[in-house]
Amino acid sequence: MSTESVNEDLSRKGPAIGTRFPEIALPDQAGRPVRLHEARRGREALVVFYRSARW
Amino acid sequence: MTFAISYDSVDTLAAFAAKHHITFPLLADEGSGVIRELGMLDEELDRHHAEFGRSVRDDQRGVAYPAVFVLDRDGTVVDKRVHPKYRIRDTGTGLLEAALGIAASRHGPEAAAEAQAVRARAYFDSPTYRPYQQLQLIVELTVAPSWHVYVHPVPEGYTALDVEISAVHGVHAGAAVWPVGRGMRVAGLEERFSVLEGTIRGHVPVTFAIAAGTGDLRPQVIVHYQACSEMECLPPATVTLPLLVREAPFAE
Repeated sequence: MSTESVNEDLSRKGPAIGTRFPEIALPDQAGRPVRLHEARRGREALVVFYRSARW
Repeated sequence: MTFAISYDSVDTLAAFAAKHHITFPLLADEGSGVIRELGMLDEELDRHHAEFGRSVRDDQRGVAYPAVFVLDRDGTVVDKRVHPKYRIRDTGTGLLEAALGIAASRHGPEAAAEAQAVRARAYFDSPTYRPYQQLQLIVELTVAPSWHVYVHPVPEGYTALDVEISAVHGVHAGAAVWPVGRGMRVAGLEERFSVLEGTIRGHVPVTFAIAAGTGDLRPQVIVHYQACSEMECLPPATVTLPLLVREAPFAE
């Protein structure tokens, strides 16, 4: 099975490679407001979207 | 550093983080506003659930496509993976490794072997797998000075660098990604070959399409190559590198 060919259809979803990831502001697990780029403080980062912490 | 985003509430994430000792930010996009704005809303949820034999509950709408974005120091996206099937997930360390050249800090146990002017080692980017997770297999070859190996396409009669994984039910390897080879011409032959020298690092996406409860897996990584110098070619070599991947405990 090749996952590469399946991913091609969805590679257009979300911010594109080569563009700056948008600034986002959301609360974290302690309810503290987090602004992504500010919290990164100039470091490399992974931004992971996952389905849910409940199911 | 890692940021994780889902449509869960702060309370749900607080409990989840406490239970699993997660210290990196879990961002609560309750209502899926950011998920929608970034274009990450899973619009094919119904079809996906049908494939896995489940129906969609109302509280499952608004979920994002499972995805990972790798950002460099400027905040620019340098790599991304978006998965249609929510049961196939990359490991973050594998993506960092592949996209930024950062060595994974906690990869799986490695195996090494030497044959015919080449030392080969292999390891997975994680010591554990979860059902339907995709790991990166890292294969590193160190070729003795003044020797080289060939990558596809190779002239007839030569053995190209190839990696395969022994048949373990549910373990599927994708195409290997190697550095671009150096073009080389051999006097008297028309074709140009593509060769690699020195320390070579390739990675192979490997999906563990395995049900929970299966436990430890012992896939063997088999590397084929042929080393040549300016003067001669050694016989084609095959080295077998036995690896161990444990199942990660996963509470839902």
